[in-house]
Amino acid sequence: MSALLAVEGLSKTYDGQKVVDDVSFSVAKGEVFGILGPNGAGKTTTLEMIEGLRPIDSGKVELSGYNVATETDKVKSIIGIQRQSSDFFDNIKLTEMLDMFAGLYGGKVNAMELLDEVDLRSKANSYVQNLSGGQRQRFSIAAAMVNKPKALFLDEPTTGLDPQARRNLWDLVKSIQKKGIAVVLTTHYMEEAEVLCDRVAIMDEGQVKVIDTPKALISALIKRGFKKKDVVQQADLEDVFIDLTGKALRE
Amino acid sequence: MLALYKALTIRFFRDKTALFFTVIMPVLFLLVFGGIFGGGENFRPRIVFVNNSDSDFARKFVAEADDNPLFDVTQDPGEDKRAEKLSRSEIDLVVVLDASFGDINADTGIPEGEMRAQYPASQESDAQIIIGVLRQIVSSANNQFAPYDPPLKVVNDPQSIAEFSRFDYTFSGLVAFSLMSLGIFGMANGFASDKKSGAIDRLRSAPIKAYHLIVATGLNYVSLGIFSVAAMMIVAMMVFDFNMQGDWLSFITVVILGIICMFGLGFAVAGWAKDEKQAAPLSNVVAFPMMFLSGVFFPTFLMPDWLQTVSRWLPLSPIAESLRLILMEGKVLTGIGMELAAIAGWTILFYAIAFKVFRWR
Repeated sequence: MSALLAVEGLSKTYDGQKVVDDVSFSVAKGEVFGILGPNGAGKTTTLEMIEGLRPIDSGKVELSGYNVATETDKVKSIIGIQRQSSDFFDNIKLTEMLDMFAGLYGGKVNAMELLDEVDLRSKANSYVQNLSGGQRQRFSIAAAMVNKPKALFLDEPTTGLDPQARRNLWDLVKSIQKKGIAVVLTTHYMEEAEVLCDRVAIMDEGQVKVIDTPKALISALIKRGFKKKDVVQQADLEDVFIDLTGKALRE
Repeated sequence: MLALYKALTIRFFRDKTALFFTVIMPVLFLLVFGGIFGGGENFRPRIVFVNNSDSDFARKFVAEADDNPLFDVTQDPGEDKRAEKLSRSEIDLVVVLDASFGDINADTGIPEGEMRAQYPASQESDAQIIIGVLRQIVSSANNQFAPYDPPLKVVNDPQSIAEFSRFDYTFSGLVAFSLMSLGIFGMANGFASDKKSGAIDRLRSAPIKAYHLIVATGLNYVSLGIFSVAAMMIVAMMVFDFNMQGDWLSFITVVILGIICMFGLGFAVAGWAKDEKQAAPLSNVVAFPMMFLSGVFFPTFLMPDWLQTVSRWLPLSPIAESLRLILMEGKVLTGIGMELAAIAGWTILFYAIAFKVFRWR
């Protein structure tokens, strides 16, 4: 697989502190790539530099052959971004908002079709401020797809969602992946990374500690003689929760 | 850009609060201020007659004064209350007719007497005007009893020249004020809160630049401004019989230039501020001097000289002045070149600052 996104030696320093330190990885077309790490590990800063939203101190990012630092607008026009700390205008219907975003890319969009994809057709005439957390995240993804992007960047898309909404969002990400769109997401839910990601990079203190498939990382750890302290359970509390409340969305 | 403009405009009309502040409030202001300044154009002094005489002549004199449209003759509040009412300007003058007023002089057969006009010493000049009218009534009565043709006369000769009522002044000031409050307060509230929520930053995901945002938002504000001024104009013409002196094209041009200028200032404030907490105090600091010193509500010629100089250097002044010249004096664009140049200068300055300090979040 040829790399759609190539990140090389990416670094960012704030007040003398390296927030992102020599990060390199690549993502192929149609791959779901996870960036894992505790809060403050530099995940969001890394993403924002790749997305062209934050100036790059050193290193290089190439997306579909475009250099992010010099061809920012070209890169922006072929990627979709869902951000952690962003909101939408109030008092605008979902369809109108999608039309507006499509307009920002200089194109048009079939808003209903896009809302169908994220299962929000019934909310087409609602305002964003009246959506639930899970609906809002799905809408945010729809808004990130108005320009038919080659790569989608999701910054902690499931933080704050209930287990049902999270699973629903996982399904959405998988369906997006099936269209051949590369997805780069950050999360601090390991389970989520295991279910969704083809490969993960684990970051801490601005540095990438390891990159591999979740399976390979786990078996490597076991090979080194690691054993869980507790007896491995066949189910955990979340399984109990889902078993009792069902998978159906609650919104 | 157009997509953004469209969305912003749709959104505005759904936002009841914004609609209220940009359209309803200026109209309410207009109704209130217009009601205060528009109706009472003629100063009608309130006079109390205290008739101590029981003569026929005195009774007739008071009755005649009561019919005089120049006076508003009010009930005598009683001796103990007169001074108090005078001091509060609830009445302007007390006229006391002596007990012997109107008694017939046995020699001439003509009524004689004195009346005393009482007023607060501090209101000398106002009182003199009223007393002047009283003297006229008295002298015309004198003339009847003792015909006499004075060698020197003053003849009244009212001219029909276009006069400016207080309302005209208030109206052009309010138009300027609403442009300012739309540009500065509208931006400081609306834009700053969008910025705080991250809605502005979200736009940056798309390949757009700050100037796209400025133009789209600016167009939005120009439309709102025209909408709001149109509403005020309709009320002014329908309710207050406002008489447009100048031509509409000049008026609309100045309105648009005025919004563009004030929006630039608002954008500089809201573009810099991270949220409403920063935007609100800054916008007040910027707006208040203009509100009171730009001749929007009070004519600048009432201010001391040094303050007039300050006033001239406020950005709202040329806008208010242009509107006044067009609305009241019928000037066209070519006649207000200096004001237009001043507006242009401020506009360039504001946008230069706005671009410099703009932050997406």
